[in-house]
Amino acid sequence: MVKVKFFGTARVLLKDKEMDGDFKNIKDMIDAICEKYGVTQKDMKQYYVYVNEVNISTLKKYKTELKDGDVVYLLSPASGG
Amino acid sequence: MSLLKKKTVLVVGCGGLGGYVIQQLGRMDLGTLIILDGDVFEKSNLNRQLLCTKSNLGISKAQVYADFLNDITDAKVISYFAKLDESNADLINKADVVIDCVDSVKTRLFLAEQCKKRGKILIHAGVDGECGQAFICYPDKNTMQDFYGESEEVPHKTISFNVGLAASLETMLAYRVLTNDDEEYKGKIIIFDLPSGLIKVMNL
Repeated sequence: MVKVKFFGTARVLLKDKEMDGDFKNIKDMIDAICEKYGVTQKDMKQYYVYVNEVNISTLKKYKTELKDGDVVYLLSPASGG
Repeated sequence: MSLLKKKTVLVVGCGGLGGYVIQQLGRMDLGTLIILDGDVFEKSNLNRQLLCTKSNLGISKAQVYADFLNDITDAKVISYFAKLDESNADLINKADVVIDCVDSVKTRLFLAEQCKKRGKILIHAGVDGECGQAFICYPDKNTMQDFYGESEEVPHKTISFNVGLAASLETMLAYRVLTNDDEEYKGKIIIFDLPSGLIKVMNL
């Protein structure tokens, strides 16, 4: 099981703190979030994603594979001041 | 003379973040503080901006903070009642460190580009609701551009305690850079999300 934690505006948009699931990769996980919470792929594009505290931009991005026990963070770039 | 006494810091923006950052820098025995903001205090700033008081409404933020700094420090204080743009971006040349206290993605990207062009280190923080982030932008990287990527401008909610936290992290990062003690924050991002109890330092 993979644990996905929502932070910042992701938590506000999805009205949830976290979800669990079995996902093959990040893309699979994003698809599942869109389906479960009724949001679009475009909505999800604004967030950055960490797997076990490593930014997926330094891994295989949306093709980054997920395995049992992984913890994913979905974070939003905050721009207020 | 102390190391900090030889340093010049430019703070761009005297709003929520800027107010707290300026106050903290003002108590650090720096040589010169340059502050820049083109706005006056408005009623909507009362909820989070340090020196926004009912009696300061309509007065230049840069002027109010300059007066405050002159009351608490012997540092040289230079203030500009102006927004950062091409015409005044050369102010960046005077600084050892620049601090991003603006409130939009567009202005941040412009500021980061101007700092990079001039080989200057930029300290960043951004807030939204009860979350935010802080990191150091070194001139050999496109950190700000990479971070905001395709982010759109969205209306953000700013709360005083969260702004204060982000500003403290920003000042801490500036202090690390000014004292040549920033190694552990190179390529790192500090992320915080208060309702989740999360404050983490991760790779950018």
